[in-house]
Amino acid sequence: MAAIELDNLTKRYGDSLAVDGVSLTVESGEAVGFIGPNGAGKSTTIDMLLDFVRPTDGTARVFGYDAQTETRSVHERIGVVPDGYALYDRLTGREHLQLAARLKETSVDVPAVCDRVGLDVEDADRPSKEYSKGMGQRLAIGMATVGNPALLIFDEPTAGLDPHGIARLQELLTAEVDRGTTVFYSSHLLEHVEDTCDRIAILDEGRLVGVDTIDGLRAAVGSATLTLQELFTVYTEKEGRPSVAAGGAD
Amino acid sequence: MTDMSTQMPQKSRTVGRVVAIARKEFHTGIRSDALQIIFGLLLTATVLVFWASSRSADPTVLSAIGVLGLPFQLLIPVAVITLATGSIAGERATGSLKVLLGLPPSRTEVVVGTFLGATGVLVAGLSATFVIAAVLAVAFFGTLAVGPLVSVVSAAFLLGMAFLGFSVGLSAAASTTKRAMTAGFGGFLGLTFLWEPILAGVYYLVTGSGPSGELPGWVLLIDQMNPIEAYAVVANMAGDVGVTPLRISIGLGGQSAAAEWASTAIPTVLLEPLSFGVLCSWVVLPLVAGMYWFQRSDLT
Repeated sequence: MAAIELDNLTKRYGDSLAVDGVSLTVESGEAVGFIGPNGAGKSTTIDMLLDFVRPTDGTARVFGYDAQTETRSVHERIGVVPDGYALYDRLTGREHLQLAARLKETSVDVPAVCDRVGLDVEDADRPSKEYSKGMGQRLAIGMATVGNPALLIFDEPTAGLDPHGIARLQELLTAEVDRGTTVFYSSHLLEHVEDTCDRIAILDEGRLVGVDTIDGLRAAVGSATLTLQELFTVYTEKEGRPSVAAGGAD
Repeated sequence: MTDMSTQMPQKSRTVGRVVAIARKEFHTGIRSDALQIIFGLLLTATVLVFWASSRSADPTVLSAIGVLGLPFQLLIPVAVITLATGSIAGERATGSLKVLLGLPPSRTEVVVGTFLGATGVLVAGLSATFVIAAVLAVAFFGTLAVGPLVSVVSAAFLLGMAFLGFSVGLSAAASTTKRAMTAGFGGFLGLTFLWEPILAGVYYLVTGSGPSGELPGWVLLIDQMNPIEAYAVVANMAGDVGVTPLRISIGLGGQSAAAEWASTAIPTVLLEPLSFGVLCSWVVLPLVAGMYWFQRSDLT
C-alpha cells in the first residue's frame, strides 16, 4: 500500500502558486528525500499532508486516508517534525514525551527515547527553555518516534543539529527504515539525503522536477557520475545560466 | 499496522486527548510569570480589603465581602484575558501548535483542552483566594458568612469563565497574539464603558427619543446581557452584599438591576436564572465561533 499519495496537490496564495500540481507516491517501507531550493514549496506540501494548510486543488492521502477529511486516521499513524515548530518553554523534556504518548494513547520509555536521539537523560527533567537548539531538535525527533509510527514525516530534521546529532539522526532513520518504517523528509543536507534515501523528489518553484533513485536521476540527464549536489543544480537550474550537465557530464 | 480505532470507543479517546491537552495548558499556565503576578495582586487586594473594612466606622464581614466583589471584577477579567488570548494564538505564533496538531488531536480537541486547562488555572487561583478570604474573615471579624462569600467567589468564577470563553474563542480565531489581545481588552473596555451608551443609541434609533423615565422590558433585557451586569446579580444571590457592576452607567436605570426589573412586566424571579444564562452564553458562544474560524484557517 502507498504510504503517501499526492495527487495534483496545489496551493495558491493570491496570485502565486506555492505548490503547483504535485503528484507523488511514496510506497510503504520506502525512504524518500524531498529536496529543493528555499521557497520551492517543500514545507507547504508537507503542511498540506499534515492538514495544517488546506489545498486549493488536489488531494493528499496517507495510507489511503485523506489528509483533510480523515485527519485523525492519518495522524495516528505518523510521527512528525514540522517546519517552524516550537517546544513548550515551561515543560520539561519528560513532560513533552509524556504529552506525545498520552495523545498517541501509548506509553513512553523516556530513557530509551533519550538514548535513541542522543539526549542526556538528566536533561529530560529540565524545562525545554534551557535546551540548546540541537537538544530541542533531538527532543522533537524523540517525540515523533513515540509509539513507533509507520510513517515518519520530518521537515528539515537536521536544522540545528551538530555533526554528532546528524550522525545520530542518520542511525535512527536507518534503523527505522530497516524496521519497515516509511520515511519522508526534506533536507538541504544532500549527502545525508543521498546516504539515507531510496528515492529523491526534487521540487522547484512549486513543481516536481524529478522523482527517482539517484541513478535514475543521473540517467535522466545522461550522466553516471554527478553527485546529488550537482544533480540538484541541474534539476533546479534556471534558463539562461550555464548548465552543470553540459560541462560536467562525460 | 494495527487499527487503533477499534481498540476503544471514540468518545473516551477524545476525552483522553482533551485531558492531556488540558493538563499541558494547566502546567504551562500555572508556571507563567504574568499569571503569578496577577494572582499575587488578587491575594494582596483580598488582604487589603479585609484589613481596610475592619477599620471602617461600621465594620461587618458582609460589607467586607461586598467590597471584595469590586477588585474581582477588574483583576479576574484582566488575568483571564492576559492568560487566554495568548493561548492558541501564542502557540500558533511560536509553532508549538504544529507539534500538538502533528499529533492525533483535532483542532476542536485543542480548543476544548486549552479552555479546560485555563479553567483549571482559574479554579486554582480562586480556590486560593477563597481560602485566604475565609481565613481573613474569621481573623478580622470572628465569623465566616459562608453563603455570601461562596456567592461572591462563585460569581467571580463565572465572570472569569465568561471572559475565558471569550478570550479562548478570540485566540482560536485570531492569526496573531497581538490581534487576540487587542480584541480581548477592547471587548472588556467596550463592555465596561460603551455598553450603555450604545444601548442608549439603539433606544434612540428605535423610539426616536433618548431613554428617560421607566424603561421598556427589552432595554433592560439587553442591558442584562452584559456579563459584568450579570456578575453583580449572581454575586448578590445569597443575600445582598452590595456588589455593584463596575462599569460606566449613563443612568439608563440609575438603580440596581433588581429595582429596575421590579418596574417591568418581566418577573424579577427570572433575573437570577437569566444572569446565569447570560454568563454561560458568554462562555460558550465565543468559544464555538472561535472554533469555527480555527477549523477553516491555514496554519502557516
